[in-house]
Amino acid sequence: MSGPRAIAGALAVVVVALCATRSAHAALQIEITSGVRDPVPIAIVPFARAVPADGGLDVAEVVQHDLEGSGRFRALPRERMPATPTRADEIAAPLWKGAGSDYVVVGRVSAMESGQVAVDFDLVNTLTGARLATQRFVGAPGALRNAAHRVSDAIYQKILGVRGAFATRIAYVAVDGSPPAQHFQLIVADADGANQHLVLESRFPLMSPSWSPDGQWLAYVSFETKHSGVYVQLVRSGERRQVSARAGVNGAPEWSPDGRKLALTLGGSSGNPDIYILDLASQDLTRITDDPAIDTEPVWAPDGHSLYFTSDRAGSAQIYQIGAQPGARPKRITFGGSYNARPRVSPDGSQLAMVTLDNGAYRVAVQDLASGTVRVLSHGRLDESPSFAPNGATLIYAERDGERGALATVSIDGLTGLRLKAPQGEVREPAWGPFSP
Amino acid sequence: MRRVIVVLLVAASLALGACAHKRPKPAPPEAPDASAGAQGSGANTANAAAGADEEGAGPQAGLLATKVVYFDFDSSEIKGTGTDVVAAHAKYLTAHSNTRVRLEGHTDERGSREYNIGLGERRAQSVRRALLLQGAADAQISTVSYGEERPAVPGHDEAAWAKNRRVEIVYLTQPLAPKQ
Amino acid sequence: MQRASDRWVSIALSVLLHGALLAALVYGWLMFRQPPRPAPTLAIEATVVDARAVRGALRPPPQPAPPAAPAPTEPPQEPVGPPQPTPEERTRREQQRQQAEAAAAEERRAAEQKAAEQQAAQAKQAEEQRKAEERAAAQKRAAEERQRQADAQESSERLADLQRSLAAEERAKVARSGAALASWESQIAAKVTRAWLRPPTARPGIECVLNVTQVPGGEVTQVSIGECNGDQAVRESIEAAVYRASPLPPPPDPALFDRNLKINFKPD
Repeated sequence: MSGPRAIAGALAVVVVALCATRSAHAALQIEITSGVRDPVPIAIVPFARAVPADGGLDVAEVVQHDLEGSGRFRALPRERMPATPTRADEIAAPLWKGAGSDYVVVGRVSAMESGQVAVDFDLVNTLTGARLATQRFVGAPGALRNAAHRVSDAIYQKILGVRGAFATRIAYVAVDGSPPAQHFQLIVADADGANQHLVLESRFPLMSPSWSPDGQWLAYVSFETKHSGVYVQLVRSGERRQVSARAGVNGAPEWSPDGRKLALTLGGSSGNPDIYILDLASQDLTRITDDPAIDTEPVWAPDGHSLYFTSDRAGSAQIYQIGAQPGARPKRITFGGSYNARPRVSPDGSQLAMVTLDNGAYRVAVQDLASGTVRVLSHGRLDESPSFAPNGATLIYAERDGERGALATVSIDGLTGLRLKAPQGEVREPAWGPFSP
Repeated sequence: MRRVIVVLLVAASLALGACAHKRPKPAPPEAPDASAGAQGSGANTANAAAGADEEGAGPQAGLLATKVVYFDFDSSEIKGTGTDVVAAHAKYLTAHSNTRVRLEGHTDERGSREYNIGLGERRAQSVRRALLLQGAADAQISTVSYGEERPAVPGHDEAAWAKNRRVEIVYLTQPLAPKQ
Repeated sequence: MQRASDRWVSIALSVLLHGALLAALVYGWLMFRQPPRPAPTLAIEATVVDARAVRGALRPPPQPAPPAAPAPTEPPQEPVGPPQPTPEERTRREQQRQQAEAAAAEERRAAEQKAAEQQAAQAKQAEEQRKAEERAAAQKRAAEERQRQADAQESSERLADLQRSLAAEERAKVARSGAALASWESQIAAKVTRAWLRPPTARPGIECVLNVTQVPGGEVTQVSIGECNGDQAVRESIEAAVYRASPLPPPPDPALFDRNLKINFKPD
């Protein structure tokens, strides 16, 4: 009886054939939905020097400090570098891959006939051997450090896709001495803490520095008259103007995105702090909140149409949003926990940084405004004053390091960065300046 | 990795330290004209306005020697001995209608700074209302809030914080102008 | 995860597979439902015949006709003046003749009757014999029929068993390789996930496909980016992820090794 057997055999062959075909199509489809946010391993090889034009500056060290300080990179220590190339074609990629680096940066500083200094660098991917970037920055010898920051910006952008903010500045308050005999200073420095420049010093408290959008002015609060007053000062020249010294509280100045207005807090003689908008040119004052609660710490949304602020109208400090016109009704933004204050908005308007009470500790947190998800980014007990870098990728804030206050940075996804301390006294209230034009 | 961070910290500290020494000498005290331009060096020194806000010792008899009222955390309610202290000062102010005081509100260091300015102001206003209720005149009282910026006691524990949550009653030397 | 187009291909192949199985089973069922004509086993080809024909066919050998009452055929002796019978003689002869005729007729009748009876009996006998034979044949046919059916049943059952066991074996093989495949895929996914340093621009909504070639041993020899809506940083990072994960883990069953992988990056 060959018939049935033949059929069975044919059937089996068909079945096997179809299954085999199906397997071949479905083989090895792999889906990856998450990665790790670990720092990218990178090697920044010491640049070739231009003595004496480079003034002794170790450009690679500045770049390494920038990239590691962002929290997103981990640099190969110099003693573990297998070679010291200064040009892309000198790089043996597998050697560096073997040393554990995904990328290698090499470069050269050279003096030009014009008296200027040039910084050339190459960025190479050790996994593929491909050269990702080659660039040159030229400037005065005194600006070599800034050129190094621009190298860091270029590398950061190439690898992470986000504009770097290393060639920017910060403002902060430094305090020396013990109360009541304290000494206050308002300081502007590079984002890595170098090149400090004294803007103002006083025996009375200085608070709440705020950068103008063009990076030329600082607004701040000073108690030099024994009462609070809001001032604006041109950083370059020191020229300053008092813009509000009304009775009661004058505080929390914040420049509008168009640079023409200040949002600020005024308490008046009744002592009830509310949010106002002051037009700097006309000195017109527009009242935004009118409520017996404490309404303070206004900050503009990037589109300039609304403000976020702190209010305890619900019984404890929470953050609200309100249109930047009189008669607008505020909308509550924070709902988690009993204390959320001091809002700051990311440059793209999507994230809100704040100080939150987290299990008895005051910490810096970021809330995604679309989803409401809150992530606590810092880990101290008395963290405060968060400020976004202009690329939105990093936050600087003040923390208490034991007895003394220090500044710290953290990436938006929680990778810890730099810490900036004063040799004596403490530093507080950082404000991150905008991109340099 | 740890070593690198330490190296960076040291480097950063050194950087800050090195720059600190470059601080220029403070400019000579200026007249209290805050809207005037400043020197081209870019550094300014802000100085206290002379005259109108000079502090004096004020009365020292009995309860009047106490010129501080303390508060509970997150509260602007006057209680306990504070009530008596305020009553004493109210009585004095009522009796000395030219005397001026400045009420300085403070908070402990916890929480955000500008919000604490508001809390300090609330405490100062609380004392002010109590004084007004008990006979003082509105013109005799000015208020200011320092928030957490001028603690009385350094320290980062409840003992220090309790001492910093206060309103200070500061007697000013310049009396009220006589009524026209 | 399969993309939409792959899912349709898999569905089509699945339908094809099931269709083939179904077709084979139906065909098999059809084939064994009607047993084939059984091969002839009787010596005699039995066909239904008419009883009358049987009689005719089985006419006993003609017995000699019973001697008919001898017709007294007198020798014609009359011409001479034989003595003319007397009327009494004539009557007597007539009577005798009649009697003889009658007897003869009687005998004839009896003989015919007997013959008929014999014929009938023989016919009957033949009939019975035929019937008996027919019955026997029918019984035999029935028996054979049952035998055939039993055989057919057995063979179709055997075929079904064979099909079932073949299918089961196939399924088991597919399941084993499917499970092993899935395990291998998840091992690769885990390693690449750990190796992917995700840049800030890898946000939900980004989807990128990498076509990866590996050699036995897992070393990645080629990576090419297919459809991808991520920026340069994303593309760099996913390529780097695969290279950093190289060599990829081997499959639990070496027979499953495939040089070509498709890795889909879809950050959440």
